[in-house]
Amino acid sequence: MGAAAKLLAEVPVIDAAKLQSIKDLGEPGDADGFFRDLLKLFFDRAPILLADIDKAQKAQDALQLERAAHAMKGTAGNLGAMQIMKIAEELEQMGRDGQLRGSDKLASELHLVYAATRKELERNWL
Amino acid sequence: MKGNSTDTYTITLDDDVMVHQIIERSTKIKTVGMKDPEELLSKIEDLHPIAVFIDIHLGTSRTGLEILPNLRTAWPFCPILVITGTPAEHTIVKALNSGADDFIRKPLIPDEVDARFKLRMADAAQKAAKEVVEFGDIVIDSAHRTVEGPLGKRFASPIEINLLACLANTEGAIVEKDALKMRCWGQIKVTDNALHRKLHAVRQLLKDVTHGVHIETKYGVGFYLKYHGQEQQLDAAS
Repeated sequence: MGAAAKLLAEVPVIDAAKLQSIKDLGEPGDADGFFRDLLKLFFDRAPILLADIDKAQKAQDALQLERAAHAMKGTAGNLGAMQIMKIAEELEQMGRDGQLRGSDKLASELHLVYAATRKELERNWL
Repeated sequence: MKGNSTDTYTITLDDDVMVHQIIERSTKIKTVGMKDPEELLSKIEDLHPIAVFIDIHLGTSRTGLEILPNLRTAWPFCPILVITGTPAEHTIVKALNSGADDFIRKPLIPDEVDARFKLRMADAAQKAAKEVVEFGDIVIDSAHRTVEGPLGKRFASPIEINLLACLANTEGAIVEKDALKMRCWGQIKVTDNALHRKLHAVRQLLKDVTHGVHIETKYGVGFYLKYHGQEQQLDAAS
């Protein structure tokens, strides 16, 4: 089992209870578009942060990797996107420790997990 | 947001706009969202929030912690809640020592955000109820920044009025030097000289309004307020 697979074992793509609590902040049926707007913000920001993570990882810039991964962890956490959070948290820790070995594989995995998360959100939550 | 007057708002400083939205919906109070601490500092004098939410890690060169003392000085009675995605206790302790009233952890849980917000608003209301403090023969009005006694009435600077109200609120008990600095400036990095200059100014101010109330120094410990009025009256009677 690879490092990323181990990390994600038994971690759901989405924490449904958490995401429902956020969705409930809008009007019933999302009549005011709150939840839809929130997802749009996520879909706009996540690719930018993915690019920041890739850039920092390729440059072996530990500080920038820590910052970008921290931001990704936070924004994914808003929606209960657990697998993204988990990988971002690991990358953040690597950056904090200045130990970037294996960060390339995790960064690649993050792209796949983001794609799966987006698909799940669009298919089952919008 | 529905049901709120336009002049009631919180401020949320976080580089993630989603956080602004979640806080606004969770508290049901309009929030003015900002991403850059410099923007907030540049507008600080024009803003009058009922509470402030501030992220510690902002993805900018300055952290939320660094500007906390500025916020506390500008809004002495406003609840400030820090948002942290880092579970490290020392960060939270540092935030609380820098002038924050409470903290909330990321990922945000709407019910927790609302509960903490309401709790801190209730605290603020209690403090506001004590904005007029009487000590001996003087009345300290923090809202209007006035001190009134038998000899007259004086206006005071924000730090002077905080200093005097802080001493008066303890009803004559000693207030430690660092506690005074924290209460009046929002930080303890203030020099002893700066504190002594302000204490001198407050002593002068007290002389203008009363002969009965003085700031006493307990060397190496702190300061306290003493009312000599009763002793003076007894002396006069004898």
